[in-house]
Amino acid sequence: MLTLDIVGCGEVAEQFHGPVLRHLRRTGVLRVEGCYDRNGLRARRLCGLLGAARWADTLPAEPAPGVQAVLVATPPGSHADLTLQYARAGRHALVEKPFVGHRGDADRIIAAARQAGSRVLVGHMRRFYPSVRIARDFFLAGGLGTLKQVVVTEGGRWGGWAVASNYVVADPLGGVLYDTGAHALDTLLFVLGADDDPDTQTHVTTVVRDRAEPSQDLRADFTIVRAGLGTVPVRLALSRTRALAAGVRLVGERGTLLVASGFATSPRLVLDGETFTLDRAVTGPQATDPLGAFTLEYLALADVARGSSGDTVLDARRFVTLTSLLDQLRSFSGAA
Amino acid sequence: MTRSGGAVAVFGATSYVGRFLLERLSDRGFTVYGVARSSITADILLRGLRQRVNVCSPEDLDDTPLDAVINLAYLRQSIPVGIVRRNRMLVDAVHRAALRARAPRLLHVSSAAVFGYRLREPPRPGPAPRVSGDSYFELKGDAERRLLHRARSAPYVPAIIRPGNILGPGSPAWVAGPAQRMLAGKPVALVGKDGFSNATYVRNLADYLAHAAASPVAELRDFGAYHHVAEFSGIRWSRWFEAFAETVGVAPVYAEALPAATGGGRLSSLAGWAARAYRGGPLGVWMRRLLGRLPSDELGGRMFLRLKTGLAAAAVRRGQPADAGDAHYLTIVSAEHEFRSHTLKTWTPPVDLPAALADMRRSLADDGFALGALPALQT
Repeated sequence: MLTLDIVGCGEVAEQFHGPVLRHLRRTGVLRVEGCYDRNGLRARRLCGLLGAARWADTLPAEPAPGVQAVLVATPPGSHADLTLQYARAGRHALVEKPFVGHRGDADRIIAAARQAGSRVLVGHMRRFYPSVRIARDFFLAGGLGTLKQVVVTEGGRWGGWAVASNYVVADPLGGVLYDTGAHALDTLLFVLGADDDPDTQTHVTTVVRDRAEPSQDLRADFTIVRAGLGTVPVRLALSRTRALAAGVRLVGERGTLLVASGFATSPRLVLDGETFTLDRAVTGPQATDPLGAFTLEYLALADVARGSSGDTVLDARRFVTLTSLLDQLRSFSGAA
Repeated sequence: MTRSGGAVAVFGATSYVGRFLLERLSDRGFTVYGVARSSITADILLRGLRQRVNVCSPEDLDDTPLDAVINLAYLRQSIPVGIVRRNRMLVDAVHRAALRARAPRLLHVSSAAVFGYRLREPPRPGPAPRVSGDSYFELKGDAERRLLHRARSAPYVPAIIRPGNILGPGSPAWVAGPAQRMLAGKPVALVGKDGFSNATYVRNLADYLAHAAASPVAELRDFGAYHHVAEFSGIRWSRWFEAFAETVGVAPVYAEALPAATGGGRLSSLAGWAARAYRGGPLGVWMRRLLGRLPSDELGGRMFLRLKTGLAAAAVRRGQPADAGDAHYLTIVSAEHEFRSHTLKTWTPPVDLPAALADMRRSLADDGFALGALPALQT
């Protein structure tokens, strides 16, 4: 049974991970050892909900001896330090998205984990959506032909979910780029197969944002350059102030592939104005609903903790290109 | 900031309608106070208006003299524990603000939904029947009654303003929502049920509210408490959807019937029974009322969280229940009755149908819904 610490007991841990952790605890997949949050009340509340052994408002210097892994669900600015702390101590980690803010941090974490014999996974649960898996298989099989243009859009009016701090308007990693954009761009890179290719390059040419990071509305143009793909232009639009189309649109020579950002069982293919649903056997694990996608994250983590050396689509090394791209978009100042 | 047009406070300033209303009031020369409970939400959604509007918390209003208080705020249903109490506290807070400010007008923006999602007869501008079945319209109806009760002994003139379905650029429910459905291949309506849209265009609604805020008190009193704003009520949904589909570039899909099972249909045992009972039927109404009246303290929140995560954990085991929102949406777009406008005679909607359609189609293209175009590179 996987023994887990939870660091960061805010809304994400409580609302999204909480139900899945309760289910997995009942079914004997895992148990929660400690719940830690600067806000002791939140830590205590999650501790009670999940039947954890302890809670505290500060993190112990070393993880308890029996702890095998950690869920890092704090605001993104602290992901790097917390993940490093556990990875160096030989513990596996599941880090909520976005992974970290800088390529250097990602490299350091991956190296530290390798040295300590631990594994780091990143919680991009959309990779388990059937629509995303089918789209990836279809694209990599050449279904679209030459890719000509990509459009990535996602946004909705900020609904005021109960963030425990003001990081969404104060932390440079708290804006729409790292919140929504991390999901949307990860879907793009995953579908293109560019997440697992260290030679993939991205070049940002334009960024228009409503304010310095953390921006709440961001538009950008960039290109993806990859062997076999050529140079593909991408238009990106993200917003917390407007409802935007939600998904990734791949325009190929044979048609347009639509991959919704929400949970869907299949992507859509548009050919000459007519739309078709792509539905076929998928390789690898896939969820039947959004909670199932969270469940698969933990099953991957439990696998890793059992010593499996097998590849998982959540391995940290698969998010290095995404981290670089987000960093480029965040720091872009106008000089292409 | 000048005070050529008087002063108005808008509660719920960060809502979708709020932004349009703040702009319209400012255009008309009012000194505008945009009241928002969350400074984070205000920072995200209202930053662009700070040059024209005083964004503040309810406490900041203090005793500022006002010509009108407009309430757009309502409670969302995230946690049902204590929601009726909090809903009434919200109405009371708006009432007290109007008293403190000696405002002669209080405009409370409610919804056509107080008659239920399925209109059983043509709604009339009067007290709404006590319909039940969903927290959203139960709370809207309760807020109307609470406000009118409070207003009996108040010096202000109350106006209950019920908009129809609010369409506009970026409207999450009725423009972006159907466009997203088209892209996802989800049905936009039912076959053979082309309902009345009962629509109001958001800029017209904002203009009406600004107009009412500036209207003589005697005119408001003579008109009566209930205003219905739905200047495009007679336009069928197909008219809007065809225009949107032309912009999106995808033919809309129509469903044969409403989704059969909603609300915990696939949960089993006690959890499933509780979920189904809570979402529908007389027992659900009773449970919602009971929970809604409980004190919304930490213990109540913890209990609800435990119940909610327990139900969700059951959903992990059994699969997610069908989406009740889908059935609500399809019910509304099948409306057999018209929610007709009943507005002050001195008001004329400033935006006509072609202009409204053009505005919304432009926003759909800018916001990435048009397959044949790139989203705008503007913020």
